[in-house]
Amino acid sequence: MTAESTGMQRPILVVEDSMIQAELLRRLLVRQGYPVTLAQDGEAGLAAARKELPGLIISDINMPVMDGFEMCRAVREDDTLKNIPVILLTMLSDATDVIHGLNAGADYYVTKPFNEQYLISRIEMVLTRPPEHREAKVEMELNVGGTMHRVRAEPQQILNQFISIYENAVLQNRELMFAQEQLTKLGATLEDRAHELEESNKDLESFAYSVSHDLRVPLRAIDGFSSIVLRRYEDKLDDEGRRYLNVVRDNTRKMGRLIDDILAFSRTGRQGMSLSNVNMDALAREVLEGFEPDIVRRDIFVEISPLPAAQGDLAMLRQVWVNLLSNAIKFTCRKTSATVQLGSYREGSELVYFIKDNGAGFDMRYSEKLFGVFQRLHGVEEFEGTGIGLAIVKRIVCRHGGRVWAEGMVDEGATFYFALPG
Amino acid sequence: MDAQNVEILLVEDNPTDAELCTMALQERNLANKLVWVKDGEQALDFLFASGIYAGRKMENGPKVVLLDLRLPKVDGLEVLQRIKADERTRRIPVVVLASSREDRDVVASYDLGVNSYISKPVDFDEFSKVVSELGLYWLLINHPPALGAQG
Repeated sequence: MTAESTGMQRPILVVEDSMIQAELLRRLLVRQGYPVTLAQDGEAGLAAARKELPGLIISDINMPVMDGFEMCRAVREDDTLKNIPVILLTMLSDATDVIHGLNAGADYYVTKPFNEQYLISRIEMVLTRPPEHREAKVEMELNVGGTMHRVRAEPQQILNQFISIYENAVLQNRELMFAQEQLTKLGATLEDRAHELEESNKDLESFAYSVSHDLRVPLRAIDGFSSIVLRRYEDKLDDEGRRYLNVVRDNTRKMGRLIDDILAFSRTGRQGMSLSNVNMDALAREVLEGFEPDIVRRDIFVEISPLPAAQGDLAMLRQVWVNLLSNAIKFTCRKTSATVQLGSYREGSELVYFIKDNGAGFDMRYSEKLFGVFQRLHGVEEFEGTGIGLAIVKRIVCRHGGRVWAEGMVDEGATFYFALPG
Repeated sequence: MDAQNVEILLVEDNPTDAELCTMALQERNLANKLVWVKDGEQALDFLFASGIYAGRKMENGPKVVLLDLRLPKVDGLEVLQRIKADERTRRIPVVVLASSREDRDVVASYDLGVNSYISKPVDFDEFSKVVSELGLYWLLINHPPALGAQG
């Protein structure tokens, strides 16, 4: 049934402060052939109602200046307007809305976001058989959400309201059931995906395994035979020939390191974690001991303040300290009095550990790049390395649910932080 | 090479690796009694004097097996398992010379009773050092029980 067939000429007044909501509603109604008037709050709505005498008012509840309830009450108290049906739009999140609506004299509720079909059928019904406000009001106490509320309304109005709430609830229930069905389907798809992912992870693992084996074999051959030429045919080679072969050997070694690093990186991503309470203080000191030869030879000043224990995988966290400490030691090698400082602090729910050095530092503009795979901020000639250490640190810390960051200044030093949930 | 008094059985499918390994041993004069086989099946035939090695006497060695893991036909771990599961061969020291450093290979090899596990370095200087040292150790320093000796 359309507006023409009901012979309806009076407009529908839409009172809604959200311009988007109002426009959506207006378009829907215009599509159905209804003339529409818009108002942005209750006061404007009331003025528009007096001017246009709408056949129906559809109103939002929460609005500035004058809310939906208040406007509804004003409509019912106005002799010329009192028989205009009012539909209130609600989120159905607050049960007391119903009580307020009843007391304000509203006829129906439609929940937001509204179901277009339901709203249209409701409008058609209201316009064909407008509820009459002739009955005497009754007073009753209603228990809503554990609180008693006093209600004063017409019996028909109470019935209409509760039926419309019920219908809306049924509608929402149907939508929820549909959504649940979709979710179940999605869950099954997700399971399939997880299975596929597991498969491709296995593929990746065997790929990494092949890489570790197959790429090393030819590299060893290149290095081996270059070395044998250098040794056995030394007298037949001039300096330049020897240099060329040494370049070949240098590069095979570099490639060997790259392969090892790629493997180490991929391993940190797939190896299982066994969580325990890790004594970070003992762990850091143990890792420091491994660097003792460098520390003694270069007379590096190391300062370590007591570090709190953390939850994590011992072997992985050891790797974090190894990588960060070896960086600190590497990048301070140009300093005559190198210092490395280990410490920690608590920040909210996080335990933050840091390593501060006074080494080569870095330009903060590139701090984002520091933790990327094979990202280097220094030339290979300056400091050797493939640029995988910090990427591994980041990966490990992320797998622990933590985060990493760094601060630094060129030639002034760097501080690397990692935070673990604790 | 005749199959009498073999000291080293090198099981390696890659000819380049086999040559490099042999050269490294030659530098210490340890490759004179070396037999090279290219897959796991040949290795087992040699060790158990079967197939093409049917006429061989098992008492003639080897003193040590250098075993790659990834081999055609029968893979290295299975060869290792067969050696360690058989009364006649289980006392022969087996050194895995692997290309990988995968933990699972190391663990699997030790679980099967490997005597040593080495991952071949890419750097030839290191490689020849490692190979010649392990040759020296197993052939000259280590004292194995006499073949066929009773406990």
